[in-house]
Amino acid sequence: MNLFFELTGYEFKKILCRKRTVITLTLVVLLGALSVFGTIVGNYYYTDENGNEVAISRYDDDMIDRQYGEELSGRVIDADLIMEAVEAYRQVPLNENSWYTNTKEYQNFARKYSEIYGIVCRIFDLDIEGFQNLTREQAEQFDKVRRENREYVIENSVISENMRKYWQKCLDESPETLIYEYSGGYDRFVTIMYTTAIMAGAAIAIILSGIFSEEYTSGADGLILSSKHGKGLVIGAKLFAAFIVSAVLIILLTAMTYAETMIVWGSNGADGQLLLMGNMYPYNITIGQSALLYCVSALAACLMFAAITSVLSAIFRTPFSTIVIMAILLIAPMFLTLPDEAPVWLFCLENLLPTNMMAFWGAMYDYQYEIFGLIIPPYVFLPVFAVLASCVCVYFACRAFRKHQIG
Amino acid sequence: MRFNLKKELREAFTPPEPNGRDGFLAAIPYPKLTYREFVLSQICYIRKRIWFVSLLILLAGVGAVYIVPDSSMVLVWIISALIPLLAVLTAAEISRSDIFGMFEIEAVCRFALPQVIGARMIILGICNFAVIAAATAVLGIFSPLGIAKSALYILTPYVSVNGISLAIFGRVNGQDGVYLSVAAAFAVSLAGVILFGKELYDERMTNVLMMAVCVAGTVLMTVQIKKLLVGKDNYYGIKD
Amino acid sequence: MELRIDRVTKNYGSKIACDRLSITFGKGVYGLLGANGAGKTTLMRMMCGILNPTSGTISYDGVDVSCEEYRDVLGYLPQDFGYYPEFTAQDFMMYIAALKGIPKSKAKVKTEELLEMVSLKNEAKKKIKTFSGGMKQRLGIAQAMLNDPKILVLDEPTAGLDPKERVRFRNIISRMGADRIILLSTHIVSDIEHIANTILVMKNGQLIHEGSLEEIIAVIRGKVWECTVPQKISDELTVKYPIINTRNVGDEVFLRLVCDEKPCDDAVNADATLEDLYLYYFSEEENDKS
Repeated sequence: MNLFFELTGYEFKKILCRKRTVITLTLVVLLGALSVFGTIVGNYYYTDENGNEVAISRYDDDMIDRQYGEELSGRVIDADLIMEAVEAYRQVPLNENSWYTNTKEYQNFARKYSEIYGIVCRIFDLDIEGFQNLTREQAEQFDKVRRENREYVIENSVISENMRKYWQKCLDESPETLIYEYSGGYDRFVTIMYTTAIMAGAAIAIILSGIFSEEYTSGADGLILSSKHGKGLVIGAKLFAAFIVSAVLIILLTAMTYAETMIVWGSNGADGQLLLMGNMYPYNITIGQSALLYCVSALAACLMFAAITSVLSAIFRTPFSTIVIMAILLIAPMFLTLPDEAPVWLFCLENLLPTNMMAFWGAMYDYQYEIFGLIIPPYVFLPVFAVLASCVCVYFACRAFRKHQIG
Repeated sequence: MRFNLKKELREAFTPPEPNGRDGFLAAIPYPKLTYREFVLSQICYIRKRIWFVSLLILLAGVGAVYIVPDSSMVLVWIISALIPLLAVLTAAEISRSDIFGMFEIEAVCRFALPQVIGARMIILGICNFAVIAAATAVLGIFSPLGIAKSALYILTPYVSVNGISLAIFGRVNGQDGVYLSVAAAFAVSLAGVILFGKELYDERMTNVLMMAVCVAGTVLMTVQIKKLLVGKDNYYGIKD
Repeated sequence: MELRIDRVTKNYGSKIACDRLSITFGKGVYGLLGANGAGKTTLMRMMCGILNPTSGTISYDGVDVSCEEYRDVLGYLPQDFGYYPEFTAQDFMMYIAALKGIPKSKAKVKTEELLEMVSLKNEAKKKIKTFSGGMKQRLGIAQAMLNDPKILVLDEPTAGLDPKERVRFRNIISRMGADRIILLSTHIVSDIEHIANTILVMKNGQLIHEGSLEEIIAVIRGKVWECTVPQKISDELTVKYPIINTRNVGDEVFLRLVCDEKPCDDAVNADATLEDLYLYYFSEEENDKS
């Protein structure tokens, strides 16, 4: 065992004590920091009623939202709150030539309720005009309509009976009322975390693409493979080092992104219901729990990415092919948009791609995975799948390196 | 009569072995290739991957226009994600003598290394210019960006990756250089996708930043090209 | 036909790779001997115009080394050279021919002729990446001769060649040396011994000897000794003198060594060879270092 850790130490040295690793890691950490702060640098621009362009600092704008959100936090979304919001929105004049958010009435009265407006409109399927005309009777039906909407989806979706039962169970267990919680920090965290995870994936691909193939290009493969532990412990040490580096990188970046977003937008909202982030998420978990589960999913995705990089590195003779394939694997899914009418299983399959696994919507996707009648939510299935896929990759990486022919 | 005499002489005497024929033939001067002919001769040595990626970018542009006509920003993402690949392949092609350790042999030929590199630059420059111009036109027409922004969104990744890659190839020999420059292209490609794919950042600020990167990339690229064409001593990694 | 190296110096920072070298080459084969780091490759690279001397000039019949006319008559085989992986032997030759400005039709004929000369005619269509080290080296030799050079610079040309190929190559070089300047460096001393008309010995960037084999060897004539001695005496002699050869003979040890006076009573004088001279000079260097 000591020998294994000694060999792992050398592998760490090989991976970390390189200019390109240092440059890549520095860049990723720097960009990770910038990707959060970059969102509050600069301005939002809008045209006021007089047609003049007005700029408002993105940071100030976000802080206004934060202040309004915190003022409403802890309030039940009931008829009283909804009607308060409706009253505020009724003061906003609608003008065909100008977007309603540009009016001072919106800024002075309605903006405070913009989150409530968003949630209510999603449930009642309303636009601004519809919202302004919402009656108290309708508002009192908010929770009922919310439940009916979900029941309609459960009844009319083309899903298995097991899944239908699972959805119904989730609905039955869901709270009767929604309590609003400002969760700007978590909203930003799960959005920016996607970018962070993608950057971590890219860094992993760059750092690890040579883990095996550089032995081939440097000519050290002959020495390693002919040594006593060359086809055993050394491979294990390489893969172990690769996984540790990847895990530490993504954990570090996640912690950094979390800390930054919480500092800027506040850490409120962890106890809020996930439903607040999107009315279709069927899971009865809090926003804090969902963020944690998502982080686990992103970590697993990065480890799977590391495993795929390792297996390609063992197969190809130069890091070039590995890095190109990994770049395609990382970037292409971002362009891939399945048509709405595509079968659900195709969406579920699409979410198994590491890039999509790194997204919050991937981990919280409202369709689950059904294995032998067992319904597994994506935030459980994706990490498990990533671990299993990584094991398969590890096997093939070992096999490829063992079978490598010098030449 | 005369004909018979020739025939009889041939039959009567054995002709002597040619003396110094090879030397004589070798000494006959022949017209050497002009630089123009040399440049043309180099077209067939440009690797197919360059033509393939150029074609891919054009096809991706045209294909995206037809497949996703209503989501024109997808077109911007796709083209700007592919451009770094063309840039890195171009840089690798220009620096291939260095990457494959051919610089010593090529440097001592009649057309010296800077001339060989110059020939490659002429061919690739024309090819890349055509691709960039076509891609800019496609984006300018079919995306909401307009010609100026399209040119910025295409030129920025191109010049930055090209400049960085040439700088890397100038300093890091062999496959290590390829590794690093592909990594740089990957990073730029990804940065483009992140910047254009999400509306997280101030667009005006992003454009200013891109302009700055474009200018810096152009300067870097120009400096590297100058170094390659001047053929500075020791530049090609020749050391004792 | 005269290649003149005039007070050429090359510095790498504080390290002097070549120190005020002045040599004039006429027709013939020149062998360059020297230990690793003696400055041989630097000198050859400067002669080929791919390294600029820190000071001094190199010219061929008045044409400076940096001119195209100079490169037009130059053939060079570097110590290590790469190749484009997608190239076959023929592609490689045709490509270099283009770089040398040889028209396609002539290049084809020349390629065929040279590949045959280096016994690679049957491998012309094979990719270079499938070649063995020796085959690659032969291809390198062939490319250097493409333009029928007047100056042929060969850095370790026989490295990786099997004995048969080496002999064949030596004969080709000897023939070619009749009407051109050939400079070759190698660690295989016997190659130089067989084909070089003039031998140049370099040490620490300086030319320490220049002359024919006989003239060069004269330095150690009478200083080469052979003896068979017990292990203990052998150990003592090994410390004191440069040992050229050692072999166990029963309980005793046979030694061939270089020293100014008779090293022991049983020692007998032996004929000096170029290898003795090489080892004498460069083991001295090792001793200096230690």
